[in-house]
Amino acid sequence: MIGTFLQEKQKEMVPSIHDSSPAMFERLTSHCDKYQMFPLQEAAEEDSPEFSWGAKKGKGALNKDVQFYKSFTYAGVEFNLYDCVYMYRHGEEEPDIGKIVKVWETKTRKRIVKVVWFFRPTELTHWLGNIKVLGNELLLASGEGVGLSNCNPVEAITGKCNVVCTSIDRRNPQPKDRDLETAEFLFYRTFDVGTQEISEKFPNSIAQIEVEHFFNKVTDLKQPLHYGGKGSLDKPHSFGGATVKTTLKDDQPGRNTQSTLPPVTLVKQTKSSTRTDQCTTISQCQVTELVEKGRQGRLGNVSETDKTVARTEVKHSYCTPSTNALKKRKLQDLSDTTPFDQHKVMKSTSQVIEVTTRVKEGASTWFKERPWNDRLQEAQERGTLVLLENLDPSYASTEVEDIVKHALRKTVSAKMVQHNTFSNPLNGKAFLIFKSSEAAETAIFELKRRCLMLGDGRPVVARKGTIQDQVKSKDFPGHLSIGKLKFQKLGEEMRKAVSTSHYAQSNTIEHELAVEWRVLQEQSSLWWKALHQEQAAEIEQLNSKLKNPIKNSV
Amino acid sequence: MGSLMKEYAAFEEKVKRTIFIDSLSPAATEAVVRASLDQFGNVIQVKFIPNYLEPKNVGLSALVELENADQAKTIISEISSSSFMICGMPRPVRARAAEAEMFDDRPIKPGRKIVCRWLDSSDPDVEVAKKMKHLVSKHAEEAKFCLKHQLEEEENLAKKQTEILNATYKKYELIDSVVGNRVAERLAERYRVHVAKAEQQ
Repeated sequence: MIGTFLQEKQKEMVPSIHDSSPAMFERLTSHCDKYQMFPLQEAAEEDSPEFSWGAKKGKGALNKDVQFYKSFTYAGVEFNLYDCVYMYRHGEEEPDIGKIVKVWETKTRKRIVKVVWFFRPTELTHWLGNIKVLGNELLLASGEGVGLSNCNPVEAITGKCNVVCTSIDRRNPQPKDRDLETAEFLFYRTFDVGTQEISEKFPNSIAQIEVEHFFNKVTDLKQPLHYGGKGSLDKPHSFGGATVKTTLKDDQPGRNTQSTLPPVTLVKQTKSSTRTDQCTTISQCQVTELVEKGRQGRLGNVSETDKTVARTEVKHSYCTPSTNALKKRKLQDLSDTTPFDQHKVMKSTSQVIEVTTRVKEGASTWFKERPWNDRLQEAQERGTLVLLENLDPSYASTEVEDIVKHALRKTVSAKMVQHNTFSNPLNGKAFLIFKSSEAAETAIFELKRRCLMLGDGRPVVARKGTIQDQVKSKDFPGHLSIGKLKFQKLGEEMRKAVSTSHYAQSNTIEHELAVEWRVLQEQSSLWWKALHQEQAAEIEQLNSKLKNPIKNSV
Repeated sequence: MGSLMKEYAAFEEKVKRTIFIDSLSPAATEAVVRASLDQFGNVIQVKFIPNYLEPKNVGLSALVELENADQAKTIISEISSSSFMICGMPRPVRARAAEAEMFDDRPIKPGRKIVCRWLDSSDPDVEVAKKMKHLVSKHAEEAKFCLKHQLEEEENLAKKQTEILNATYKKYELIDSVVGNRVAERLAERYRVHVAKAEQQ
């Protein structure tokens, strides 16, 4: 099969890379096998997302059984040649981004795409050195060598990605402001995987594809993006008492164009200090909303799965004047308000940050994430696991993610820890998986150094997460057996009784022993109750000492 | 917004008909739990709660979703009133009504706005906040101690019971053997006491 043949070739070429940083090395080689590990057999199962081919392109020259295509629809989303996509790599939190340059179906009905990769700056720190990169910048792979491209099964795709080229190369149609705002990523430089050089010059072809295909499509820029209109996304929703003013978007289109992604403001200097002041906290939310809309706009009526639609519907109140009024009031109350720098992320004054549901960027929701257990174990090993305590136990996991996003400006995956027999009913805990261990450490440090107060006046406590080994212990105190040998003498019935379930009968020893256990159980629940009550009282006492409690409107 | 409320209402309904079982033996599997509770009602789903933060010997716990709330109530009252054992004895399992916080995949409670704020070192509440943080860790320590104590108690009880069990078993064995090898019979003849004859095996 062409796919494995190419991968074999790439594996052979690995030793020739000299002086590569270990991370890059591993990444390049791991491409080969880690994508294969993604279950191919799922393609055959009924529960995998639907797939259908689009326009054909022609048959393979070498191998007549190979059919090339121009487009395909996967899980309800249409992908065309030269679209940029997210691809999930086994073992990584962040998906990789690549541009589809070839699509085909093999004789054995395997659907393969060849993608040319974009590098994230974090993967090229060795070569970037001190060169500054923009927050959402990518570098296009070029040249010849490992890491330029890969052939992967279609099922590894997890979503479309909006990547815009901002290069001033004359062959590149220049993107408009709107496109930049809706772009998730941008690139204007290449990284040659052969010579390992970063350059702003684009060669004539990359991976035997003409470079024009890598630049912006001419038709892209003419796409109307309806962030002013009332599509299915703009259903007015009220959330937490503050109503959504969807009309706000209509009234102030100018405002939208000015609130660009923070990194992009470095490129496009649209500074108007009053406007951006108001927009800083909400710019992130707004842009992610616009990104979603942009994507929706391009796809036309094809909407992604229910989950994303549900999220985009809850685009609420961050633009309302009431929030701004609240902020202004807070500003006046506190005496030492320092004017906040629009690039500074952490507020220096005790600003009330309203946490709103954000749209999930990037990875689409049809993609089944790895089981949480595995991710936790792995995160602990890598040092990206953090445990948050003292949360409101009725928070949903997504709310926790949002809080972290707003307060710490970091994207995490979070899950609340399920309450157990001994959990304190007042204390909610959650595990967070950060994208890198540095992010995790800075987060813990920040939360320790400063206090993040939640609505009901409780500070969030963070520490390094450690989880118990999930190995099951064989012995359980209280489950007795009389000794192995003797156990075997007991009949079939006896064994059955132990392995399933039964009631204790009142004329057996078992019954008496069981009653003793129940007594102990009652005792233990009593003393836990007492403990929790005492703790609650202590918390109340401290709570009453708070001077500026923020009332949570439940 | 309507969909959020509906989702949450559906979730609450699910909570009502789910029971929380603990003190389960680690050897219990989903099939076992399901089979043991099937006699009371229709079990829809059994999900074990992973133990991330507590010591190992605490015993497994699971959330069992049933067909309707009545079945759930019946099971809870049955298990609470008489000792029900799953996968080992004599330690019985415990059951109680599930709470929303036990589910980690719960939807967002609608109608709630979350706010949070950072406190500066000049903020008057910083001292209180710091104290609260200390309190959280103090409570965690207290809980840990309490848990340790509980586990110790449980182990003690288990040991005690093992001894009792072994002693009782020995007694029975002794009686059995004595009856079996007809020593009892002969002794009975000697003392002119009536004793049931051993059954011929």
